[in-house]
Amino acid sequence: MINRRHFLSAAAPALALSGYPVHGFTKEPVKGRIVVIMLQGGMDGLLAVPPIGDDDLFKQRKALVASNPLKLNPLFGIHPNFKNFSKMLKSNEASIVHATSFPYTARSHFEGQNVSQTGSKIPFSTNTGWLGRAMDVAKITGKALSLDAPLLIRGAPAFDNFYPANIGKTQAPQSELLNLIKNTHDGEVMVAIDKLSQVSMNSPSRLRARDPLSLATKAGESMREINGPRVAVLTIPEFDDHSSIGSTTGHHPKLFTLLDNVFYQLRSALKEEWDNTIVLTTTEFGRTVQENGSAGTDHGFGSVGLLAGGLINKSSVVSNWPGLSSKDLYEKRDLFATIDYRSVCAACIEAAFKLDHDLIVDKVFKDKKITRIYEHIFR
Amino acid sequence: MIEIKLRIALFLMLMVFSTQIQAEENILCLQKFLAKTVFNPGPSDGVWGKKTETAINQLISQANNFESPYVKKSDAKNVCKMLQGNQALKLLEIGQFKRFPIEILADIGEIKSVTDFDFSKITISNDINYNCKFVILHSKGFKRASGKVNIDNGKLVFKNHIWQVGLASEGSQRFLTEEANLRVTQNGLRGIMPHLSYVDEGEVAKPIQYITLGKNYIKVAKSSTFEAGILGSNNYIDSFGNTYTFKILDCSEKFNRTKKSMDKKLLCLQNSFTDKGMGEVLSILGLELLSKAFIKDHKNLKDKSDLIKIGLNPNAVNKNEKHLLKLVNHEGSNFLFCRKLKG
Repeated sequence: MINRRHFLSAAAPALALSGYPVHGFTKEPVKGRIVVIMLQGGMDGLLAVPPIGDDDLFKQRKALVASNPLKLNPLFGIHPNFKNFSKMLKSNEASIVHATSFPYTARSHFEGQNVSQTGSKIPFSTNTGWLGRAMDVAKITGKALSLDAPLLIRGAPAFDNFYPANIGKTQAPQSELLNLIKNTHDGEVMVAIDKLSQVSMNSPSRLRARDPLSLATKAGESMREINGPRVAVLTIPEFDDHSSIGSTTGHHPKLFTLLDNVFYQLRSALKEEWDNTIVLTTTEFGRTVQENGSAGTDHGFGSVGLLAGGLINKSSVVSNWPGLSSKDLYEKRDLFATIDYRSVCAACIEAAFKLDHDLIVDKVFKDKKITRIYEHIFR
Repeated sequence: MIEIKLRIALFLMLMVFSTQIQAEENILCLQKFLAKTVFNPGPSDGVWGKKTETAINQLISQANNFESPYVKKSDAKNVCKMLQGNQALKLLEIGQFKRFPIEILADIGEIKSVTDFDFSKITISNDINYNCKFVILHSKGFKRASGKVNIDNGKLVFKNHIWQVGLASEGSQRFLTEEANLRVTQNGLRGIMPHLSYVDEGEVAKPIQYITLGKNYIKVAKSSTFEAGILGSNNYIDSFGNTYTFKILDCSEKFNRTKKSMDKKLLCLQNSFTDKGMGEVLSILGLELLSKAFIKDHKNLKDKSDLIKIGLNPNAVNKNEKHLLKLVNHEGSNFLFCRKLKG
């Protein structure tokens, strides 16, 4: 029998680099760099960036607010563990998008992670990732340097071998995980998970614990090079805190410190290339507004996106704040996502790869309803 | 006459009225535009209320990166013109999402760098220079990290070193290189060392930890030899209960031409000559001359004539030429230097 703990053991800190300019193929390499930090498990956006100016925050969650958030403006504060990120906010190198999510509300990790990587509204409806497709459109080719290329950077089928899912003997369980779930997604989920478990446990390379800070340094150093990768994807797992999530200190705050240092390491390692870079976080969903009986929060909807990089010109919190009173919540329990996070991804692609918004929504996200939010983040 | 007066009055009234209508139209124009954005101007009634003023100011401020003059009722005409001009589409786009400026007033607080680590209360003498290796071992035998470390004029400088994370990683994986930054000061050893804990098969990866080594992990008495002082190990236990051992090993002293270091060499030289019965041929004065020349530029001491040039007794030089040249051409540490003399 497989339990959740075993299932989640398939997730470990990881790094994938892609989009190396290929000599003779790439005419003029794209200048911009995109780093995606995938926060797996669902980050609690209200704990990271609490809306301290909204009285309902303190009515809805009493214990789960840091005692000393740093005040950003009358409405928003930020968890005190984001010290480096706060400095970047102060020096106009970072921004926050709040009450946002990928368009997915069914609260399953597997589906949510798939949607956050494919950018498609329907889970498991495509084999390619939004970033991979964006690289195709921007004609950024080149092999992925990765133990296991995440779905996010896999391109269109015709170019698939540019972003190989497996490099001999190095496959990690994640790709198997997604494939298996995809192939057996007709109700027999338990069977699938069982198979998945066997694969991840018997794989010769099985779980690797990797250190996100080292990976961030490695990513930054590689991307700094002229012919270095234009894209990096970092994974930080463990955000799924159903119990003892923490407030001022605790497990989520510990992860905030880690994430904060990942931003710092990327900035230090990228050096002058930081000016051409945008780093953005993604997470499959936010968490419930109220705490559960185990001092944690459960799978929710709206969360927060953290962005940093020299491509940002003026820091701000971008949010069509929906409010936190019970009537304002999604299904009376989750922060509403009033911004489709795919807009944010599209803006980052526009900023780094210099692609037109209409082209991005047409070719990358294939959904013309995605609103342009470039002006709010990069101007 | 009365008729003319009435006409004038009527004309003036119409003037005032039409201006008012114009003003209301301008406000209505703003309100109608704002209604298509996220900035709520209240009802579109042509009245300049607080809601309208706030909404239009939020939009204009946001469109100008929060650096624009305050919009008043009297500006309605100009703003309306702008909203109908070629900037209309851009402003409508900007009006779809709210931006809240960052106004951090409080102190962000001290940022503890990931390479900043407190080893306070560790004593180490600051007049030593060694090239060493180090290793961090998990109690289950897996090597957590290894590499070179130099002790350099009171600083502990980590050279090439590799941190292994997880079980499957190979030593050559550059992915895993982490810049630790440790230094030795008069107050102790400072720096931070990141590490991951051992992850058993099937276990969930644990977040990175920052370790504090025990306070006695390297203890150097002022007059100790480097074997006693630097070579050492220290166990530490992380918060998950894993035991690690940090070891510094294989140290060799750098060839050092400071006065202090040269005095040490001189002492070895004297002892050596006494042992070999050469004390008679090379006087104390001669040894000092040799020492001074060493400090100044030992590379110029290439042959017999150079040794005589610095003032050594020619007879003594002739007699011990082989040994003396071996000595002056030595490039290794003090330790090796002294051992060589003995051998």
